[in-house]
Amino acid sequence: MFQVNLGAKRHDVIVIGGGPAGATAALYTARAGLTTLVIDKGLTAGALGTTGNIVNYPGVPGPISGAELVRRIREQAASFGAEFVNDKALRAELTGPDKKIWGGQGVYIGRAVIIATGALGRTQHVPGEERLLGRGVSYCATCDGAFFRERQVAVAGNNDEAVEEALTLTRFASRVHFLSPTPALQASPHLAGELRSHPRVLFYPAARLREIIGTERVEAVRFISEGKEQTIPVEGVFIYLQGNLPITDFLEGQLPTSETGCLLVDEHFQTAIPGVFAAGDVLCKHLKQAVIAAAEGAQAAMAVDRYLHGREKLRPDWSKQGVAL
Amino acid sequence: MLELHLTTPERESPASGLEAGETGLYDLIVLGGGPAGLTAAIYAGRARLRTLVLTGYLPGGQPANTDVVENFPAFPDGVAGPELAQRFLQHARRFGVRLETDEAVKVDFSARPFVIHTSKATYYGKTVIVATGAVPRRLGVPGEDRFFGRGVSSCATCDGFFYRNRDVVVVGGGDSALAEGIFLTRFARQVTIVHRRDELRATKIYREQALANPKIRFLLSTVVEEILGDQTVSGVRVRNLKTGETGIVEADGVFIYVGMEPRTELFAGQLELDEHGYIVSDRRQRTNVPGVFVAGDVQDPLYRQIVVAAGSGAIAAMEAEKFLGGYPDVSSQPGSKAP
Repeated sequence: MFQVNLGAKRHDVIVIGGGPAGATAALYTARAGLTTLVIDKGLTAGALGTTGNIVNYPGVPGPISGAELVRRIREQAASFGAEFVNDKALRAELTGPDKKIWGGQGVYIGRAVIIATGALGRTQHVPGEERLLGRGVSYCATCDGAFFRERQVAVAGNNDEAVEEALTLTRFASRVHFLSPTPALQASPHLAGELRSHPRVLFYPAARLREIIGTERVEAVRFISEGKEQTIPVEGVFIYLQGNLPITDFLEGQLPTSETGCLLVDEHFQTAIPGVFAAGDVLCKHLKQAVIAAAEGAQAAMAVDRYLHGREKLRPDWSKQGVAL
Repeated sequence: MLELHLTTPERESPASGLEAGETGLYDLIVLGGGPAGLTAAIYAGRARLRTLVLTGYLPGGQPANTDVVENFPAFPDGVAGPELAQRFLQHARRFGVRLETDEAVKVDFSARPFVIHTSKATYYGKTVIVATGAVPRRLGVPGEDRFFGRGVSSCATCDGFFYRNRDVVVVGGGDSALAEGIFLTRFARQVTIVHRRDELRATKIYREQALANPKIRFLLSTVVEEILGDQTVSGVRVRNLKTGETGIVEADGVFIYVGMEPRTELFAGQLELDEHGYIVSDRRQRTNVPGVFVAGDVQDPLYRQIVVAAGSGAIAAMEAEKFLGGYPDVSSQPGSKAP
C-alpha cells in the first residue's frame, strides 16, 4: 500500500490541506522563495469549499462562494510557484530533517511541514469498519481500487473527494454503489454530473451507512436510504464521510493533541516536532472563519521561513561594497 | 475601478439607534481604521452591534500608504494598497458601521461605559477594540527631525518618486528596508542600504533580490550618526561598528526602516504594555481591562501582515460580541441607557 518512491523530489515545505489556512501558508512560503507543495483533496473537500455565500472576508464584500475564495487564494499561491497535487495524506514520518508524507500516489518529502487539514474528520466509525480495515474497507481508491477488478464496491460520501474516488473505482469495479449521506451531492457540478450519468454507478440519496458485514473480509453493507433499510453484497467499502473532528488520523499519534483531538502548537504554530507546524481549523481555536484561518496560515508560514533560515547567515557580495570609509 | 456588490439581500440596514446622534453610546468603539480595526468593524457590523470606528487621519491604515499588496489572500493579481484600503472601508460601511475620520486624544477605561474623547466629541462604548497600529521608529540622530518630510522619509511608496536619478540611503536590514530599497531602485540612481548588524534579517526573497540588484550596495555593521545638509539633505555621516571608522555617504534622501513603534501612549497606565510598548493580550485578544480588546500591529511586534491583523480584528470583534452577551441589540437590555 505504501510504496516508497526513492526518486521523490525534496521540497522546502509540504502543506497538507489547501483550504484558507493551507493555501495562505503556501502563498507566503512560495513568495518567500521556498519550494512549496500543497497536498489537497480538492476544492470542495474542506469546510470553506462547501460554504455558500461568504460576506465577511474583509476586502471582498461578496457574496462570494467559499470555493471561489479558496480558488483565488490557491491561484495566488500558484502564481508565486506553489505546486498543488490532488492527493490525500495517509501516513507521515515527521522526525528528522526530511519529513515524509505518504499519499495515495506516492511519498512526498519536505524539510518542513504545515498541517492544515481542517476539522471535517469523522467522529465515529461504522460497526465493522475498524475490524475490516484493510480487508475490504479502505479510505483510498487510488491505492486499493485495483484489488476490486470486476467486483462490487460501495462508496460512502458526498463531496468532490468521494465522487473522484468513486469515478476512479469505476475503472475497476463492476458496480459502484454510491451512498450519499445527503439527498444531493455536495460536489462540483461537472463531477456530480459525471457520477450520476455513469453506467456502473448506482446512486443512493440520503443514505446512512449502518454496518459493514463480513467475517474474514467485507461481504456486504447495511444502510438506510430514504427511510428504507437495505443490505447489498459488496467486497469493498470506501469511506469519505465527514464529521467535525480535526483530521489527524494520518499522524497516527505522532503529535500531541488536546482531549478533543485538536493539534497543539506553540505561539509560533510549531508542534512538538521541530519543523512541523499546523494552522487553521485543525487547531480548533476559532472555527470556520476564513480570515482567521488565513491569518494562522500566514503566521505558520513565516515561522517556517524562520525555521528554515534560522541559522543561515547572509554572505554578502563584498565586491558590491563601493564606499571607502 | 472599485466594484462593489451592494444589491445583495445580505445588505443590512443600520442597527436601530445608530443614527442616535453625533455622540452617544455604542456597543463597540474601534480605535483605528486599518485592516485590524476595519475587519473588527465588518464582523461587529454584521453581528448588528452599534459600532463606531475612529479611523484617524489615514483611513484604511498602512495599506493606504503602500504601493502594491501582493500577499493579502484572495487577490491573485495583487491589489494596489489604496484600493485595498478603500475596499475595507466600503465593506465596513456596508454593514452599517459609522466611520469617523477622527482620533482619540484621551480615553478612560476605568469608567463604565468606556469614555473616548476626541478633539471634537466624546463617545461612550460598552466595549472598545484598540487597533491603533504602529508607526515607523525614528533613529534619533541629529538632522533627522529637521529634515523629516524634507529628505528624510519612512515611506518610499510616498516619496520615492522625488528621487529620480538621485542617490538615496536606506537604513535598516529587515524586510521593509530591503523591499523599499528594491522599490527605490525604480527611481534612484543608487541605493545604499546601511545596517548596523553584519547580516540582514530580511527573508530570502528580499535578500536575493537586493543582492542581485546592481543599483543596491550594502554597508553592514554600520550605523548612521547624523543626517547632513544645509537646506536639503546632502548625505549621512556613518560609522563602522567593527573598525570604528567614520565616513560620509552622499545622498539626496534618507529612508528609515528600523522597526515600528506601537501607538499606545494614550493607554499607558490603563492597559498593560510590554517593555517595547506593545499592548499585552491573550489569544482571545483580551487586554487586562475586561471589555477592552486589542487587534493588529499595536499588539504584534512580529508578523505585521495585513491578513494577520485582519484575523486578530475578527477575533477581537467576536470576543467583544461575546462580552456583550451575544445579543445583537444590547441597548434593549435593562441598565444600559446612554449617559
